[in-house]
Amino acid sequence: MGIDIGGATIVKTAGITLNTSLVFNAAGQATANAAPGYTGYKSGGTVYYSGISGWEITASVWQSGLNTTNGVFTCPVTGLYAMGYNGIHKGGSNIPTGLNTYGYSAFCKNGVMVYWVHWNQATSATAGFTSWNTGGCSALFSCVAGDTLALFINRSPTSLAPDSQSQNFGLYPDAHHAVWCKLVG
Amino acid sequence: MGFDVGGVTLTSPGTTLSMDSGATNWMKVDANGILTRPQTPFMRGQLTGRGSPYSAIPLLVTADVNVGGCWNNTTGTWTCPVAGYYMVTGGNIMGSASSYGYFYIQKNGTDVIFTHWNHNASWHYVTMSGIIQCAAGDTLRYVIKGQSPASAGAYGVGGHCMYSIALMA
Repeated sequence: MGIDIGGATIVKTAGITLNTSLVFNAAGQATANAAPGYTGYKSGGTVYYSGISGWEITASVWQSGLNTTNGVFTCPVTGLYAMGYNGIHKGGSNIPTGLNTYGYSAFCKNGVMVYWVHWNQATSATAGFTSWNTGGCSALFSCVAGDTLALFINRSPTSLAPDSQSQNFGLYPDAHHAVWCKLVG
Repeated sequence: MGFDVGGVTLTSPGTTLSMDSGATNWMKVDANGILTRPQTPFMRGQLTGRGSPYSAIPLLVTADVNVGGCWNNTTGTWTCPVAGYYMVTGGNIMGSASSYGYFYIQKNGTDVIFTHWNHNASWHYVTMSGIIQCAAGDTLRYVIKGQSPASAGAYGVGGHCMYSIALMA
């Protein structure tokens, strides 16, 4: 039993299914089958700053619309997208000689970086080390279809010659961090 | 005028499109196209009265809001009612003593994502968030482990730590 409106259907299942993809169960709890977005992280490596396009999300927990070679997400439809990351910025005893213990990260829409966050490690509980700095931020983006979103690690608001990468160190890889993005409205 | 689809009604009271099961509203779209779904599973809670530091496994978060009844205060576990994508957030301040450790989100008892703190005699704010794909019946929980000293953990007094889970879609 259902209703057909020019090919879009409203069908009684356990609850209600709208246009085959928005499904309400018997308690009125809804899920949408298409899920533009991702949750993932960069796997492995010893250089903990972004490549030229963004922070590489080489290991995705789930993803739709993400380029896993460069971490660039392409919005499939116009809408509101939530994006965030959390992780630990490099510290311990492994910062190479000559590199700073502070840095910046930023979200990037269509290649333009916005919404920076900054970290600057303090003394750790282990004598002689610089602490791991817990970092992250989140933001909402209004996008049109085809817009791109990415995370950059260790890119400062003010250009540092030749590039902030050469002075600073970044985000520890693998499941120690997570980056996520999803269409929310 | 409205439609009855197997007991679920689609009506248009005023300028609103409404989908209801009996007296329970499932979805509403107002005249401006603003969509609300009040049955969306959601919890928000804190470590009220847990003392400090606090690092039980799992963290026994007390829910202030628990739409759908998915969060169990006694076991510190969220059970997913449907397959979907769940937004999970957690924010703690770790105790003032010198310490280090790890804060995890687990799915079905397995670590999914985590973060780390390491500080010397200062409060350390540790937050984490992620969107976890789950099947119906999967469980989510918060865990602090690998800490040193063993007594290290979150400040569980008052509302200093906060946790939330919601079905996104």
